[in-house]
Amino acid sequence: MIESFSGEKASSALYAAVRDTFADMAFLDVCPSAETAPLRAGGGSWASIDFLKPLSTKILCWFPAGLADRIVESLRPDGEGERLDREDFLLEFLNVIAGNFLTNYFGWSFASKLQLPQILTTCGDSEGKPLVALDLDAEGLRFRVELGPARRRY
Amino acid sequence: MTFNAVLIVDDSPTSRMIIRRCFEMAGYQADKFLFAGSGREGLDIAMSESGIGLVITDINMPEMDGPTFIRKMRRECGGRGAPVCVVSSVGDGSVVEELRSFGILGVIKKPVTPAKFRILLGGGDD
Repeated sequence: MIESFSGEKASSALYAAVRDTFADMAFLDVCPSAETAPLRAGGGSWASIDFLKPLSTKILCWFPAGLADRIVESLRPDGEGERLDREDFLLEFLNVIAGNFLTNYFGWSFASKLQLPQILTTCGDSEGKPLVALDLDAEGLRFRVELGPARRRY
Repeated sequence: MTFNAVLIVDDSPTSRMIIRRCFEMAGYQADKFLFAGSGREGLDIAMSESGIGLVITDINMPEMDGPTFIRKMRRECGGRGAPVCVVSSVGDGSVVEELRSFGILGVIKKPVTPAKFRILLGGGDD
């Protein structure tokens, strides 16, 4: 699967997955960032979800605090959200992004195995260069989504 | 359409909340909602509660996943097994086929929306 991996197709699939998830769940419009300065992913929240099948890799997201707040507020019904774990909102959001990406790339009928999403305390970028890195903008708030790097299984 | 009790099984509290909200926004009602964070918890509830009219379950969960939960519920609850609606962020063809063999109503791909509930269950209100 890795050998036939298409970075261009993956980039389109990941972008569409993020855009659609933001539209459906957070009611926010997402587009590629027009900023040319490198994104400084400090503070905010890092979250990742690992895939074991059909591709051994992961999606890694960085949301600035302001965007994480917007996502949580959009999902939170009046009077109920305070009882719920803020991090769980982001994890479920990432879970849906991952599902949309896999469906966009591989279709609906494929064997998949996902790990549970998790919040990271550091960005954890020591595994190598990502397969896809998207610098995006959600109504003025820049954020980053990466796919990979791919992992070999022995 | 009103159900006696609806059991929602998902490890994410956020997802459980969204499922309930979309279910109600689709025009369905339940006398009570029961919540479980894993298939094992769901199975305990399914075996101890007699009035469950609908089960809505995720696939990918820790401790006991959705397919195992449904399989055990069908086997251990026998004819008392309630209709099951599966929600999932991914569609694994072989898993979905296995689930269909247990007579599930269908699969809703996350994000869950009121419209998706209406399509699957029918009879809801706008």
